Amino acid sequence: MRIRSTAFSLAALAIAATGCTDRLTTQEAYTTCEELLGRPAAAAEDTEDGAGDTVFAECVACHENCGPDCSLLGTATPTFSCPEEQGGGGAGGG
Amino acid sequence: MRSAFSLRLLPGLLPGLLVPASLASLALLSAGDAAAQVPPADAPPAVTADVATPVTEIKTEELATPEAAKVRPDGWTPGIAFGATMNLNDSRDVVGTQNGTSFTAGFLLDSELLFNKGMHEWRNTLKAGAGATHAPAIDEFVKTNDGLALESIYLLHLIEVLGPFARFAMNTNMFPSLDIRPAPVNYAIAELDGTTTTLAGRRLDLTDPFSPIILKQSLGIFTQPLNKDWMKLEARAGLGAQEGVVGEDNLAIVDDAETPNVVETSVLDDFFLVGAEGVVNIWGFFDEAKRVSYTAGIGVLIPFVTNELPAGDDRGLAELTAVEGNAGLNAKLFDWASFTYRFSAVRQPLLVDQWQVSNMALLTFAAAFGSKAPAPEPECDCPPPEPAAPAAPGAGDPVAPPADPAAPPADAAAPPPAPPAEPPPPAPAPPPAAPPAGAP
Repeated sequence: MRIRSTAFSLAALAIAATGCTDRLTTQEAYTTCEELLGRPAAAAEDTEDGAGDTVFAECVACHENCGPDCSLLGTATPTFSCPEEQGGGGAGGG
Repeated sequence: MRSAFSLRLLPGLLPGLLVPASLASLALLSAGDAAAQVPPADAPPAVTADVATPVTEIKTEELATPEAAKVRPDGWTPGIAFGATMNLNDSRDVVGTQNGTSFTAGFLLDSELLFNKGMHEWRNTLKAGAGATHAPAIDEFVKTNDGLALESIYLLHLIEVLGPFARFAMNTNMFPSLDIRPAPVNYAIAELDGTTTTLAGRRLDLTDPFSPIILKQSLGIFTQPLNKDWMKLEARAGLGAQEGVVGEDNLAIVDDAETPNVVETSVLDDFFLVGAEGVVNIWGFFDEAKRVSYTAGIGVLIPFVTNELPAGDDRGLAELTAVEGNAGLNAKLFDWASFTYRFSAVRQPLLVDQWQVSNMALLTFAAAFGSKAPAPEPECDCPPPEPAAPAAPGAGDPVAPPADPAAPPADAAAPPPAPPAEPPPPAPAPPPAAPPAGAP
């Protein structure tokens, strides 16, 4: 029993610690979003409302949460959605 | 002060410099027989032989007692302790509790391989530990601790309490690390070229697996002036070197509390330093029953030479001094469980210019395998139990109708588990025969 519980906790830890997840890191999400949007993130002072590059931030948040499953919806005003969120229509948030 | 002390000892390093690395030093073992030293004694040995007796025949009271011979017994002495911890909580619509699953798991490995023969002492230790937790607020596992430490030290007891030594040690992390937060934050990343990159996110990649790797080498002289159960003291001084090997674009959090909206991080870089090193370690038991052991140590490396510092970094050698301190406590609560606490404070200014402090408390349960497992003992002089009855209808088949609820479950046909023949093996407490691997 001890061996079994030890093995279980070790397996769970190994899976968790080796980063066995499809989610992207912030750096990976930036690279992906720069490719998707064809531009780097705009600085806050360069945006009209000064609130920053919300589209880019949505893209990063979506890829951080859903990884490559994150979908780009729309082209005029890009929005991003995780598969489990598409029913709700919400963008990937932080 | 420490530097001057070490410099005075430098001439004494010559014997140590002649001693090859600890691995190669085994070649000396056969030659060491003739000059074999007595095991360290709990008290200064009293010479009982006549002064006119040839030196080789001088015996001491301590030598004659088997107690003393156990202190540093000849031959290989392996030891391993393994512990794991796990906690699982799941709440659904419980008043006063957040919905979700929280899970914590961790393990601790503490092993050593000691070799003693005559004047030769070779200590090898390998310690590893890691833990991760999953909480509803952050729906993924977050690493909570991670460390791998390897140490090999060879001590040549020219006289029992004094001699040259050579040491190699390595510290690293085993798993990648991320800075995971529930909501996005602004990261300001100080690059090696002095520029700053800003990223907004909540999963910043910090370090790769096995990065950074810190390698340490020491040569010098040691002394073990105190060798009691309640305290063993070992001090070392000499020449020390450290090298840090860092993965590309690995980061460290160096957050400034005065900028709450920004999380400062810096890119780590390879480094090395060579200098005068002084180390003091103590370890022992608090009680005569040896159920509560402790360790403590501090090490200082004052550099003579370092890698080239980045432009604008005008820190002096004194400011680049590496300091490591640690303390540990191990209490054997039951025969099958022990409590471990470890504290570590490390300052490696060439890696990151801040104290790295960690505290860890771990409840360790014994794990016994193979011949170490407790043997079952029959409860009485009953005849051997009959084979277990076939599984009841439906057992293991969720579609089949349930068995007669009045009937005992299939497992009930087997006799109840017998108690162990003897108490389970004691919880593997970190053996206090040698200072911890993480010791400086």
